[in-house]
Amino acid sequence: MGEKLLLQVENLHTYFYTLQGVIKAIDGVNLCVREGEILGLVGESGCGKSVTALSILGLVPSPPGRVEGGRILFEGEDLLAKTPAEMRSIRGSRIAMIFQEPMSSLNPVFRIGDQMIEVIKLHKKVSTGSARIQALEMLHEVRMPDPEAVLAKYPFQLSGGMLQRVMIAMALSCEPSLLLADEPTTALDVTVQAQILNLMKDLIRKRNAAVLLITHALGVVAQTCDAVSVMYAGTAVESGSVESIFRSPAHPYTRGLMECIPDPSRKSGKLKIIPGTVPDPVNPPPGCRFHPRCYKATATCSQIRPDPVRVGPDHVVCCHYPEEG
Amino acid sequence: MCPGAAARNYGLREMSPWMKDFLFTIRLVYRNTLAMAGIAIITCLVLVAVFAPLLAPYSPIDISLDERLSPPSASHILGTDEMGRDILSRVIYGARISIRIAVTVVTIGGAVGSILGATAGYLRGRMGSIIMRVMDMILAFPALVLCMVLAAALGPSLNNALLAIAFVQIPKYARLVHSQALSLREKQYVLAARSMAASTPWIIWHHILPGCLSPVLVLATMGMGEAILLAASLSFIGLGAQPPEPEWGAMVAMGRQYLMDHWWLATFPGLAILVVAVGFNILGDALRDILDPRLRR
Amino acid sequence: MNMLTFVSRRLVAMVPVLLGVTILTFLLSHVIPGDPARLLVGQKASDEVVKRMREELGLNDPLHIQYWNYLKQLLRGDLGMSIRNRRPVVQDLAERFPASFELTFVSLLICVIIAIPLGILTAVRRNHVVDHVARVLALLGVSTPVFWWGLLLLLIFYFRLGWLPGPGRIDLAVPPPAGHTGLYILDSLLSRDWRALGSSLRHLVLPAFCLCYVYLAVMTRMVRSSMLEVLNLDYIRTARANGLPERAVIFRHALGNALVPTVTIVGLSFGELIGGAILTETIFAWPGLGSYMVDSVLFLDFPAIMGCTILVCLIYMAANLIVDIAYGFLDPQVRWG
Repeated sequence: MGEKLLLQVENLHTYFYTLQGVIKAIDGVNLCVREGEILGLVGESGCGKSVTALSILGLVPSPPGRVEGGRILFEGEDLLAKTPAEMRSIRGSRIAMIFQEPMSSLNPVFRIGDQMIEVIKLHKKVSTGSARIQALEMLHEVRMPDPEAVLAKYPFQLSGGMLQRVMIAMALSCEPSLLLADEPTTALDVTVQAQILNLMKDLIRKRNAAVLLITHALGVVAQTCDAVSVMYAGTAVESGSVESIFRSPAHPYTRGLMECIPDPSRKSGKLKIIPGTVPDPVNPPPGCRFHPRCYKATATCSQIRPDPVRVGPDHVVCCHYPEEG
Repeated sequence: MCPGAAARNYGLREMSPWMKDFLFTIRLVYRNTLAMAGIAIITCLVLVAVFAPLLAPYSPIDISLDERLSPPSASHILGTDEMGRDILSRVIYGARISIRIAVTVVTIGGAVGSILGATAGYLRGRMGSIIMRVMDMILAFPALVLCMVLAAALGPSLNNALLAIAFVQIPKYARLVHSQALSLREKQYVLAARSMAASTPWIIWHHILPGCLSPVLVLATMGMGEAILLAASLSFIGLGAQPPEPEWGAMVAMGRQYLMDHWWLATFPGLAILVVAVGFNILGDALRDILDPRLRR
Repeated sequence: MNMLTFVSRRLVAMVPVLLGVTILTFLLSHVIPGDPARLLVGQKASDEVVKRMREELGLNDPLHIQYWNYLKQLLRGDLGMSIRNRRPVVQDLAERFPASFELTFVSLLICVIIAIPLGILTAVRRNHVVDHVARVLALLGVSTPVFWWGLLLLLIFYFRLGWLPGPGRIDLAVPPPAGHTGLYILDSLLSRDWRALGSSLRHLVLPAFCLCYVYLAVMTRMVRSSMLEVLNLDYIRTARANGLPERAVIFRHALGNALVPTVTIVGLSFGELIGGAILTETIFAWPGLGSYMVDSVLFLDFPAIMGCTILVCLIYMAANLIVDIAYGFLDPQVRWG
């Protein structure tokens, strides 16, 4: 794993302008992904994980959404400064994305083959024939049984797990250096989830590509990722290597998330929960976004937004009172 | 939501979520230019209708043959018709008929359709499907065709035309309310009422129908525009208002015979129909946007 | 499920609706004021003649027997005699149908050619100037009384400017083209009668434009909304995430799917077109079903009205059936599923 930074998101703001008011879906997020690293982006649903990925690709639905500020550096270039045409040539070739719902993510009126070949031809500028061969190879690599037949099938003729393999094959077919995976296994059967994750991990390692893995399941992060970023209500609250975060979570929210994981070895039958609910995105609380739910909150927390603090090598937290080891 | 919260919300507070919804809608309407423009046109129509005797310079009915077919001038701004009646005055009095059309049709069609739809949706079963099949049958006719046949069968008069139009409008409301009722009947507050042995008509009246208020409002607004157009069409054919009633469609029909040399006879009443229909339609269009669940959340 | 079962299933589903339509028309012809027998034999006939006529028409039988007989008569393709001109209604309808078909078809064609691109444009450029202009035009379109609009067109382009001919299908001085279809454009093309072709095309311009105006507005808005719906779907996001150019996203990925609901729209708004055709034909003295129907209604010629109604319903339902079949062809899930 290289130490070079591949993707750096700095102070990103993405807002949605709706009838109810401005929804600050992302309000100052910092992230960095190193070359060949798998970064897990964790948080409750609605905290802005998916919007972060869409902002990176420049695909925030507009209107009503708009990226309002910040920088997204990818291989040293600022993606927010790119023209639409330049972004198109990056999408699918240097940065690819896999979505949560494989069933609805492929076009129902085209065959699998047509959709894969279309992408390969677009980015690699090859003939249909050789694009077809590459598509077959990719399907073979994602361990798809009978790739020939799959090329001629329509999406509704395949199962969710198979379709997600197709999506992975499609995403990796142009050798991207960064893969954005938005809850790639959430919609799948539990038995298939692990298969898909392992497959993804293998293929990524083989290509030395990096992954931004969006998930709400800490178990998935522990198994798959090298590093973690935790998001809460549109802000990144903590990031670091998997070991340091799982060993010593420094943010009360991260700690709360860990305690929510049912632990069979603990005898008390009650599930832990974090009190309160996710704040209203139109009128978020001032200061630290988490303070209304935090057991440590003081007057400072409700007034001043905490700046990132380094609590260990590669371990950064945004909290006025970080937990000690 | 955790089970505890659901249990707490089971009581009175969730009894009328439609009221909150309705107030929110009003607020959005207030901020929507298009909706306000529609409301302005409709308000004008109502004012003109109410103050018709004050606004109209002449009688809409009295004949003065020595002034017949005179073009627009200072004394007759919109000219006079083949009987020498002032067209402006007739158009102004026509506003009263338009309001009568819009209100009658939407009240009858909307009420009967909503009640049928709510009953069918809430009861489901055989009763529900019979009602909905009959509605499908009515929808198998193109609207104007069925209106014509019914109006002809009932005999040509404005009231019969209105009955015919109202009848044709019923299935639209029934379908809309039916689909709403199907989802409303599973709501907690409806289940709660049912578990407290509330009678079926009571539940339909207090829970199902109010829950359909917003979408029915949109349909009713657009339905008023459509009713005015259909009534004018029937009158134009000769199946609606009879002369000398100052109904706009009938006025266009009369003006048709004098079209070549006396264009003002047909033009101005038609323009009045257009303006009023635009008013209802832009309000309905704006309301539909406002009530679109995808934009609300 | 293959195409054949699909089509036959749709056909079977039409039967109850058709039965319902016949029941409705049957009942309507019984609530009309006046005695059909009296209407048929005329006011001056003696009571004896009327009584015989009643027997002959079976008007003394119980209602369900009468309906059964009516249904049998319908199935034989007999729609009764017109009171107005004492000719079989079927014969009248057959003569009138081609004129209506020609007018409606041309209007529909113009509509589709304009509405689909305009709908796509307004969906893609949502909330831009084009979209707002199209929205205003659409609102004007649905709010315009067709009969008034037709009169205005006549007033301006025929009476005042004299650019286009007025009422009728063809100039009085020009003999109608020889042929069997009754479609003047097709007949004149087949018989190479250029004079008739020119005249009938010129006569078609105003009525077709009058009719398509209202329909165009509705259709553009519907294409727009179905396009918007498709553009919000996951696979469009995938296509964009794969870096496909916007042109390919819209014309290949979105349009392919938006066409399915668009076809439905074309079929569903057909009823509106028929309604519009009635008024348009009346204004332009177009000798089609619509003007026939208006004349029949004014004469209280009930056999003719009912025959017309049933035919119109049949056409309407046939249009919906064609839509369903087209749907099957466009959607692979129906084609292969």
